Amino acid sequence: MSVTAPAPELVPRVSSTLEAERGARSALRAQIAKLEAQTALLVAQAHPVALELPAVPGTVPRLQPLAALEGRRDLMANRLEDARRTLTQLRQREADARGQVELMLADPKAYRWLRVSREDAGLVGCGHWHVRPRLGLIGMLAGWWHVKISSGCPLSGDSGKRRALDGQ
Amino acid sequence: MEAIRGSVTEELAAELPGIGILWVPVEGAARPDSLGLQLELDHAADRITGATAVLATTEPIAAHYRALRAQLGMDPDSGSGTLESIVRRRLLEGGFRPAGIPGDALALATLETGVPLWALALEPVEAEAGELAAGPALSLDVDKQTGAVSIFNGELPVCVLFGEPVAEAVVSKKCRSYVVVALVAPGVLAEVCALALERAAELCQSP
Repeated sequence: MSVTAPAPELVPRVSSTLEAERGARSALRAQIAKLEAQTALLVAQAHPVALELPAVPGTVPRLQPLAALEGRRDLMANRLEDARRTLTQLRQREADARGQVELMLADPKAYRWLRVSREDAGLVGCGHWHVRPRLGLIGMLAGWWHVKISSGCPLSGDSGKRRALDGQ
Repeated sequence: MEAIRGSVTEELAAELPGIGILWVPVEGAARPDSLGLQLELDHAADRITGATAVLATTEPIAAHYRALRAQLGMDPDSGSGTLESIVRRRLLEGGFRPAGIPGDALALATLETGVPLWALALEPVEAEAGELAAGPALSLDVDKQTGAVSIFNGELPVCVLFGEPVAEAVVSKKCRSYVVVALVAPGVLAEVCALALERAAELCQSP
C-alpha cells in the first residue's frame, strides 16, 4: 500500500476544521465553568439544607474531546436544573409551613395537636410550634387550645452537662 | 524566594490557555509539625464550620479550580490538595490531626490562599551530555499511557493533577530536599500562586 501526500488544497481546509473544533471545545469549556459556578452558588444558597445532587463521574483529569465535553455540559445543565427544581420545591414547602404557623396562631382550635418545626419553616435552630391544650386535660375538655413555642435547642456538650449539674 | 515557572506543552496551552505550574525548592525532609504550625492549624480549624465548607465551593479562586476539574472530566468535588478536600478533612476529623510537614504546611497555605499545592521529592533530571542537571525540570503534560494530565519531571510523570504523587515522589524522612508545586488554573493570577508557594515554603522551613 502506498501513502500519498494530501492534496495541497486540502491542508488549509483540515487546518480550519481543527481550529473550528478547538473553538467549539473552548466554548463548551466556558459553558461548563459557568454551569459549575451556578450549581455551587445554588448549593450555597440552600444551606443549611444539603441539596442532594447526582454525582458527576470522573476522577482522572483528561483533555476531553468534543463529544465528551458536550456530554458533560448536558450532564451539568441537567444537574443544575435538578438543583433549581429541588430548591424551588423546598422553598415552597417552607413557605407553606410558615403559612401553616400563621393559621395555627390565628385559630389554634382548628389545628389541634399540629406541630411545625423551625426546620420545616426554613429557619435555623431547634424548636417547633405545637398546638396544645391549656392546662392539659382540662383545657382539652374545655376547648382551650393554644400554640406552644418550644424553648429551643437542648443544651449540648460539656457546657450543657455542666449547667444541668449546676441546676441540680 | 522566587517561584520557578514549569513548562506547559503546546497541546495543553492551546486547549487550556492560562494553565501552568509554578514551583519552589525546599531544603529538608518530612518531619513532625512545628509548634507554631500546629497552633496556626488549630486556629484555622476553629474558623471552619459547616457553612465554611459549603461556601468554599464559591470562593473565587477555588471556583476556578472547580471549573478546571469539571472541564477535565472530573467530579468538581473530587481531587486531593484542593481547598474543599482540606475543609472536608477538618469537618470529618473535628480538627486537623497533625500529619507532619510538608502535608500540614501545604494544607494551611491552601486554606489561606485557595491554591492547591503538592510536595514532590524529585531527582535531578539527566542533562543531554549524561550529566545531572542542576535540579528537577517540571512540566505539565498529558501522560501518553493513561491520558491523564500530569506533572512531569523530565520525561517521567510524577503526579496526576489533583491526585497523589507516585510512590517515588512521596516526600519521606530520608529526603534531603523536595519541591512544592502550585497549579495555575486558567483565570487565576500567577502572583496568587506564587504567594501560596512562598507561604508554604516558609511554613515547611519553620523551626
